[in-house]
Amino acid sequence: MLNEFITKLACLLNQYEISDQEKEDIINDYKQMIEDGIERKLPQKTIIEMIGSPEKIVKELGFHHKKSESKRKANGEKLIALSPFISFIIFLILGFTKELWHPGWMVFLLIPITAIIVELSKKGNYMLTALSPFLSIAFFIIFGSLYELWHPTWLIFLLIPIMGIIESKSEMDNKTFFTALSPFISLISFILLQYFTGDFKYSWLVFLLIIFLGLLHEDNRNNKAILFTSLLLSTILYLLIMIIFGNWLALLSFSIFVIAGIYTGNINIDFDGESKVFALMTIILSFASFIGVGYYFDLWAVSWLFLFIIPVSFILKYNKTKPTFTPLSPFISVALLVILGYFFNLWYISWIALLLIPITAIIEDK
Amino acid sequence: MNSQFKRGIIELCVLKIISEKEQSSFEVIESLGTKIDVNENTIYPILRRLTKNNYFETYTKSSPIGAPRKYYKITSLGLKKLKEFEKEWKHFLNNVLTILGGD
Repeated sequence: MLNEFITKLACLLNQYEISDQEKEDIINDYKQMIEDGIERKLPQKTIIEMIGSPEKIVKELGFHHKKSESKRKANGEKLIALSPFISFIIFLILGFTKELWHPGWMVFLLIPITAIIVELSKKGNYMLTALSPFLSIAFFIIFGSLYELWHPTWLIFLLIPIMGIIESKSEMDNKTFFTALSPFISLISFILLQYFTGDFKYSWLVFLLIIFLGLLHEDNRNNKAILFTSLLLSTILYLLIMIIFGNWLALLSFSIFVIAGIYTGNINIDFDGESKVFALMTIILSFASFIGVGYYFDLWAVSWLFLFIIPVSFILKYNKTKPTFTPLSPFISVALLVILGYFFNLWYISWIALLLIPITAIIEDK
Repeated sequence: MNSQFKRGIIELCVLKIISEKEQSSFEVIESLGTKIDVNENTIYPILRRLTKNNYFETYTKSSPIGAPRKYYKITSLGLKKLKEFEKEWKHFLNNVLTILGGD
């Protein structure tokens, strides 16, 4: 059994790029430990239990490069180094022979794509997340150029966070996974409904999916039932009033859900003095703007941006730590994207605003 | 307990017990194993890493069975590191106890 241990350990160490001297040193150390155990007249099984298993020991020793991996790494690095030249040649061929300078320039995306594939294939995770910005840009430019459909093609950029969530699924349960996806599913559904139906006035209801899924996280069964029922009732009542009377006051039916939230302790505005006034004013102002602008100007497609006032003002008031602009960048960039796209029909270029998010994060990262 | 966190504690313990008495790998495993619930696979790699970082130096001593045994001895750099670790750990522990003391 003890000999098997040493043979197994030597065999595993042989798989790694380490010097013969280091290998021999480790094996001798374990031989000594085994002899120490024998000297103390310990059973073989106990000695093995005390010194561990060869597989786990080699893992703990932290050797990174397996021999075969080293060869593959060298090939991968060659491929990365060659990718700019290959891209440039393809670019010239496409340009001179087919006059495809645009969108032929996109072959340069092969450079980061190659690097990501080579580097992440070793780790085996988050490859699609890392590739998604490049795939999104390629899809957006090609589809947008071919069909002049910059809006709603920009939605493809939501693939980036969606892939991030999908590839992190192993770290979360199903409930958390679907809750994390729900804002993106809702936003995509909302934009597509607006696009294909032409400002369908009920399309904002898809955002209720986020709340419905969020309610699954309520631990108390009774509270969960109360909240579900009240939200369902509020929604049905809202639809009934809107269909029968067509009056925007139908939104008040959601007060049933708000009351249920306060009753179950889920809506708990716990601010003191000045903060309470600030919080209430901010929430009232943003909802009033959302409903007011949406209703009077029939601008539901953009008026939801007023709801960003809530997180933005809270971040500005309470976030005392650096980075300063990074937490604001998602709201600013989405607002820019939608405003430029909707009012100036600049969807084909307004997506660049989304790049503000990584750029701000990189600049502010220390 | 988080394995990274536990590994940090084991490092501190290994530094401490070798600062008190020069020991062989097997003796370190024995000493630690009897006092704390420790993953046996991690001790030797920790000893090796701390030696590579010059916190320990090794020497051999003859043994009644088999080859001479390797012994670990703490260096002045290792002692310095141990003091730093002890200070950090005591500070951390005091803060935890302050929080828990509130119950």
